[in-house]
Amino acid sequence: MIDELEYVPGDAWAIVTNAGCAVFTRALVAGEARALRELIGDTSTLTELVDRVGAHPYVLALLASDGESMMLLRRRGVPATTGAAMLADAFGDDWHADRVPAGAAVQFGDVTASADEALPLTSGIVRVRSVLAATRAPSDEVHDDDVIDDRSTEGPAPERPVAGAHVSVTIDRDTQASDASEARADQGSVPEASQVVVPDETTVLPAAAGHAAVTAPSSATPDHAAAHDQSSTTGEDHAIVEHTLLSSEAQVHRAADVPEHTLVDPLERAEQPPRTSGIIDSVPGFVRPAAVVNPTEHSEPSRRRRTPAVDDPERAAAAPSAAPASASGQGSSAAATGGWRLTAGAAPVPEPFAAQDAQRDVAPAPRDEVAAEPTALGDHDGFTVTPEQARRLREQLAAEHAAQSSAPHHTPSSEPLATSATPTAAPSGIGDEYAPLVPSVLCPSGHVNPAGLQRCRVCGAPVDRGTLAQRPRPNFAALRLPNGDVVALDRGVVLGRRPRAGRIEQAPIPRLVAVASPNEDISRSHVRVICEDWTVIATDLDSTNGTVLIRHGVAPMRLRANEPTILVFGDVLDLGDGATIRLEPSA
Amino acid sequence: MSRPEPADISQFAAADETVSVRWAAATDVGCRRTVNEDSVFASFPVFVVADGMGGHDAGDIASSLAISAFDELAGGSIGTIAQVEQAVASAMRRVERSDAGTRGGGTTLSGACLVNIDGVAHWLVLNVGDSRTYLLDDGELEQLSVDHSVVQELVDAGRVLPLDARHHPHRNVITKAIGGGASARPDYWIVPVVAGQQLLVCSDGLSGEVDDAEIGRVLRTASSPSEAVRSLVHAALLAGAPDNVSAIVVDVEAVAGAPIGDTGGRVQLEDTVPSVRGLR
Repeated sequence: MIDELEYVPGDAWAIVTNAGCAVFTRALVAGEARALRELIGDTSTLTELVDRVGAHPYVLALLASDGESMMLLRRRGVPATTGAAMLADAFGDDWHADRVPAGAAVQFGDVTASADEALPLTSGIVRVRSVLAATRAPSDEVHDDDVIDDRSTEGPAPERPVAGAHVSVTIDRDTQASDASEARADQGSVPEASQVVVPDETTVLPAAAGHAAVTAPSSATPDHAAAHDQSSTTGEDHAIVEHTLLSSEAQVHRAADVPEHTLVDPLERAEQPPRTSGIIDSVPGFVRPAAVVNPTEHSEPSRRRRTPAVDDPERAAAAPSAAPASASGQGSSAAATGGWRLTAGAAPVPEPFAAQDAQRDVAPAPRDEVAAEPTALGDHDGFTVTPEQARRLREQLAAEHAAQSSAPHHTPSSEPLATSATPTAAPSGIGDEYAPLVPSVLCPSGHVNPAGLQRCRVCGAPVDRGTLAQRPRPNFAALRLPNGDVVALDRGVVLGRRPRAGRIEQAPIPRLVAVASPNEDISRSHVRVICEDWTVIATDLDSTNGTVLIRHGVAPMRLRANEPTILVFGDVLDLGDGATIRLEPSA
Repeated sequence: MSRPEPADISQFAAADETVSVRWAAATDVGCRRTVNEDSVFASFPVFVVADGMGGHDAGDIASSLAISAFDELAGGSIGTIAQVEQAVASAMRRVERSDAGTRGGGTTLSGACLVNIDGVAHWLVLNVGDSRTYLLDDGELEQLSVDHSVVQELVDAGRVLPLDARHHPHRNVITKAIGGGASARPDYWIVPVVAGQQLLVCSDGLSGEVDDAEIGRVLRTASSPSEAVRSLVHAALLAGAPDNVSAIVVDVEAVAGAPIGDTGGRVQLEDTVPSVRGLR
């Protein structure tokens, strides 16, 4: 039961209703805030509050009653303190939950704001820098100072002073996992990285579709009975939300090591960020926009967030006219398709697949510089460029390429990355796959093959030439590393002792792969391997000791620095120090 | 016209399991302008500067919209490459679709985000326009970003000496921007983070008035990021600062888990042991 609520004026938005207090970044506009308040409506529990607004891109903190105590959910680094001690960090996008027991108080946001500046807050919408909340002790006694050390309270509520216990919550993969974590948490042991780390007494919240699940083992305490009814047994799925592994791993499960009724030591962290700013800059920092703006991009799907719950018609009307992408958009889409021409009939077999299709003896002579992608700005002299002219030049180029029936090449465009890359959770942390459009044919099983191939590269079945079309290129090749790992080549790979990626202009950002080199024979950025359409190309990056290409049936050959060389499956690149990298097909 | 010293420059620190940094940032309207169209976003793990163009009500809004796209990244652990790419795409959309964007307003965007690659922190450096991102590594200052400017193209073509670039009459003409009628995607670089590195992100109001030698000297001798920022902005103001001046300095304190390839020790730019290798 939240008995006292106060705020210190600022720029963030606090929406207070019967359910509690929801705080959003200053990015909101008034209309949105009103709509959110309506959305929260007459909900009265934390569960419902999380359900309604927990997925909003701008929500920072949620405070609600939970029986006699309060639950505070924070994320994005919002600081909080009980007055006696700081609560644990709440960095990241996932919610961090703390229980503030009856009789305790908490302040979150700009914790340096003095309580003297605080004003009472009952209900409505205010602009805040900090929020202060307190609950009366069940016996009307205030135990603020004793909160942390009081372990002897059997008390009216079986609550222990866990105000400081850091609960790190992540997405539950499935209910079985949840049950497993229940059992483990009861024993106080360390759960798996992606599981919830929780002491007892945390509310089980159902995950509505598309919302983060704040889950926890349910303990049979009476005041959670209400919450239990809304537990996952209602039949709602624990939504498998697209969280990257990084986000769950990034939740430092320090609480796992902490007995449930002890305050997490804030000094455990390597560095204590100075709490100099409040909610609006939820992590300390200097953010100074030149002008106050309200981004209109609320409805874009973000990589690990769900679409916001709010649809504000008022904003749509009042917002600066969202002019459809100007001619520049059209220009670039013309460029995307303009340079391409599918050639019917026999297409040459892409190099890596040469051995499959026919026996050929390919001398790995280094080729001339692979035709670079046409410069977007054409052949200008550098004097007269305005962006308008640049755009026109680009369109002109695209038109010229479309008119020619030249060999197919990939016209640079900003579109492929934006449209074809869909965010997925990738363990490597690199993220989405990069898939340019390439000419392809299908086999009867639907495998995507290069246009010139007779038999499917995956299953060997004859391909159907009638299915010739442009499709997103599948992941068709990979590198096998000395330690056995296999790295996909979709975005290209730079290998070395400590690789860095040099200027990446239109190309996708490559994966960096570190290779062990005890004798330091391998250069820091030693060799790069990329895919161009269906061709795999290796380029020695001017390494000190060179890269040797070992190909079946051919004498080993050292690659010339900075000269691209086309590879075939089975080729091995020797980087020195025993590091051999093999090009293999992928299904 | 003399300007007062920049006011107190706050310093911040943050860390996660992979890296620990301190930083400071400042922006000043300069000695001749009346409006500051620079926007600065310096909050772990994102450190970017956007220099708006197109005049008041267009440039300042464009640069603000561009940095607003990074709101989602800040406050978390270090990010991923995909997140940064999406933030950039979002920045481009926000500017292009805005009222300011349709009026031809645009902005540069330069800086770096800390990203996690296989558990090791890396700088994902991005740049479009003529704001700059530098890295001081082992005492050496390196300009990581490449200017998208008319002058840079002249220098590349050999028609203008690098020495004269800062004084060229066309030095303010940029060839790529976000918005400005035709958005261009930034260039990217990926550089492993190493303890002791300093990252500097600045608008051309700084790099146009303070040469690289002076920048390197300040970064090497300053005792803290806030002192470095103060000195740099002060130097630009002293030089007359005809344009808005913005700077972010990030100091890398510690890095966890170097890639398996490194055998430890201070990292030189190229310290591979040459060996004689015959063909096998």
